Amino acid sequence: MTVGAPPQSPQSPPAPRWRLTVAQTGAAVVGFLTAGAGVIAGHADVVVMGLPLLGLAAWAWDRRPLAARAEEPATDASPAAPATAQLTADRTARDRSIGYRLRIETPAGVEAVQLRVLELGVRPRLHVLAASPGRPVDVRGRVPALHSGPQRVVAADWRLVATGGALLTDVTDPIAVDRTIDPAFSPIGALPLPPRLTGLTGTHDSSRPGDGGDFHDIDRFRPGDRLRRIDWKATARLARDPGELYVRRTRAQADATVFVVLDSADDLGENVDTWARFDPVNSGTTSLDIGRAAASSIAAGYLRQGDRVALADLAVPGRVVRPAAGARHLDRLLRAIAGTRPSGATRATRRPPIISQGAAVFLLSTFLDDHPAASALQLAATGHRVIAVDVLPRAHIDGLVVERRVAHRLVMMDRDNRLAAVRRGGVDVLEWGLARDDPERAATLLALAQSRHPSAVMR
Amino acid sequence: MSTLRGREAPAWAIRAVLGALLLALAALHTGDAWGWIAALAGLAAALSPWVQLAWVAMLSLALSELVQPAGAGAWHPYAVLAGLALAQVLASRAAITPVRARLELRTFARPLVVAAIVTAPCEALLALALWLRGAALPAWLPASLIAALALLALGSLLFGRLLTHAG
Repeated sequence: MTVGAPPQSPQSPPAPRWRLTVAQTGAAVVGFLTAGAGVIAGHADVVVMGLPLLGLAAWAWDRRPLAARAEEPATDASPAAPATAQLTADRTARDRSIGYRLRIETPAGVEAVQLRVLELGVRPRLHVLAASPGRPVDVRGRVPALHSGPQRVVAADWRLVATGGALLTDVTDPIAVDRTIDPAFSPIGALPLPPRLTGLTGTHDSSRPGDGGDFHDIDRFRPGDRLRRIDWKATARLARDPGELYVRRTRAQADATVFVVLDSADDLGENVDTWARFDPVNSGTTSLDIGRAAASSIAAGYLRQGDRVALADLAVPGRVVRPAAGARHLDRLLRAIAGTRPSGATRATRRPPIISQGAAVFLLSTFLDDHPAASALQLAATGHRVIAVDVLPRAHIDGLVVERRVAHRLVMMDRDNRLAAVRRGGVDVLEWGLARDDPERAATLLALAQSRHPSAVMR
Repeated sequence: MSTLRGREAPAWAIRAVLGALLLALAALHTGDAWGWIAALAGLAAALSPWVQLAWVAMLSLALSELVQPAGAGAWHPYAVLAGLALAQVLASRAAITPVRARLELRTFARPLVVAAIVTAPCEALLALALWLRGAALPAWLPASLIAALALLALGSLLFGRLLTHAG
């Protein structure tokens, strides 16, 4: 459940500078011109017409706020006494949204705060709010948690207004709250295994005889065999010579090493219209949302069985979590997966990660460019069992203009060709949809798990 | 959805009110060129990014009193005087606020109170000026009275400030 996060330390941005606005100049100029014209024309009533503007300009000048350091009223370009701001937000999403609160304590003489709040990096909201020293500006809001992963929940900057708009400060540096939203996932049940199992313990039966559970064969007793493994019935049936003994051999237990390779180069939503711009509000579920959920499900599924899981980022070569097992490693992996953000890495810099020999590889990508497909084929060619997980969400193209619709179709045809080539290269392709629990996906995984290479051997 | 403290109005509505106010004041002087200039400038101030044109409209409205002298019983000079102060309050805010912003209405409270305090004695002064113009008095008397009142106002202001600093 969500709890209110402890407040961040109050942030005191550098003191902005006060500026005279056109309001002060305009009132003074119009007031003097009117009064002067009245004096020249000898019309006292026209002179009086200029007095309210002169009076308002005089009031604004007289009541201007104090400067930051000097105990004197602010003048043009003098630094303002800084406002103290406190921006807090929930640690995690509650009801698919994150609450935040912004409090701005203003110095004396400030009349209003022009506040700009940027939720989710888009949708700037501008407010002019009344402020006074004993009554801070207090803004609360909730931002929908539309996506998993790291995101800027809210950012805010502001400027101070004094004496009816006659004085205005520069815009402050923005303050922001970032949160990492954990993806919703459920561990997969059926686990496709690599052709070679490693290690001396685990939950999977290897083809090597050893101390395991399942029956392997009956063989002659050899030095090193344990006495309790002697099968007396088989010995009575098969022994030809005195002293000849037969033992019942079982399969050795071993664990699998699985590499989850997440391609963070793209983050494309359901709404194809948003592919070319940053629009988390209208994008719908994105490929990285699905990728994070899929990677978490795969990692949790294998680690729950005691296997060793590693994480690598196809787009960021140095971003690797080494293979390990256990609950703490699962926490480490889930944190790393949730922290995956679109890297925007150029294609030339991406190389396939270094995979342990005999490991199974889940390569999660949109396959919209050649590099993930080439990496999958390369890894399959070097003896790894590779499962390409397609994380591109089903596209919404209803509102697209004809040109974009055609372009999207061409891109998809190219992608289909790429995936077909991947299949021909011995790589299994698994489509991972939006649903957290998908029977079709579970059935595909089960089929992949049962199609384990029968001659799996242990190194 | 943000929760703020008070009632808000969109900034474009403030501009619309400013434009409507300047147009209404300009309508009192449709007979002369200053009135038309004020109307055009007021309209442009409300509809275009150049809110500064509001001060052109204000100047035109004040100067239009030169070409259309009003009698002591006329009401529109008083309306123009109050309207100029109100337009100054609205234009000051509109000039520094983006059109897409929303303003808490409470931010107008203090400037409006100050405008009312400043305008009230000016209205009385205007009534006196209009009465003096209508009355058949020697030429030196209106000027003397206005000068005396101005000196009185200036002296009270200065004394007020000096006493504040002394305290």
